[in-house]
Amino acid sequence: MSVNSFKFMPRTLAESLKVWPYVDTSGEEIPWTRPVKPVGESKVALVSSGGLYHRDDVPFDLDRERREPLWGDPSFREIPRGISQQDIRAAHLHYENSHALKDYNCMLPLAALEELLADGRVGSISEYHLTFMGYQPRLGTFIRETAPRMAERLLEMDVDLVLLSSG
Amino acid sequence: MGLAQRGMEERGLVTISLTNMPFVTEKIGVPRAVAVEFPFGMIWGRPGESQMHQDILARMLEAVEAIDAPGTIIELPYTWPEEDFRKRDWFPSEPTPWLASQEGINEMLEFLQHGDPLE
Repeated sequence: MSVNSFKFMPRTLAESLKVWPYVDTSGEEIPWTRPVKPVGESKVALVSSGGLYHRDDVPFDLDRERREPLWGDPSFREIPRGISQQDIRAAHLHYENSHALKDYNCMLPLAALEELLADGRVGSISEYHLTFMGYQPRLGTFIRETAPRMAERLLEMDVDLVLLSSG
Repeated sequence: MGLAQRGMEERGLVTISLTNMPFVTEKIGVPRAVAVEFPFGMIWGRPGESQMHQDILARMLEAVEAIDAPGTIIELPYTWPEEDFRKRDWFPSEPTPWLASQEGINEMLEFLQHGDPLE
């Protein structure tokens, strides 16, 4: 792989990610769902780990992370389709949030998705998109509770195709 | 991110992720991914760069149709402009808590050596 985004990080962080105790999935097969619909007929949702939330919603808990630096808020939030820029807030202590506060599409490209819908490149767009805060060294709660709930929520909205991005 | 993606795919959703850390994505193993060399916080491109956001999204949709084996990561040919690199404006203005004190760094070192990510 030639993509190397370590160059954007302070050295201590880059070195830590190289020796990070990632969850060992080597003994399991990678899951695979064969698409039954063409992309142009699929209902699409976005999922971002960039810590965005609606200003009327509960923020991700950064104060606890400031007190306990190896804890990260494991919950998720919903962002309605068509949310305005002024209704977006961002809470992530590992990203510079000001960019998303100028234009949230740099983390959650809802405007681009609307353009592709207008061009017939996707079938429809989910009513809500999901966000969480991706810094979670201890993933227990996220894996056992949050991830299954997110999947459930997407299925409830009849989503076919999920586009995830890390911030 | 990768583990959430695996969980969604297991439930019957078709998933693809945009990563800037294919090194990590490859380790976790996800059904489909595309990679860009962009910083965290602007992984779809700079604020206001709507054409870039749209290009990446369109490439992801193409990748969904092209990828036929789980674990495939397609690198996209976008790089962060050299003149922008000097701005270094992707660093968080508030220092990351674990990096902000020796105590936090020690706690992280302990986690890196003996921590259980599933705790």
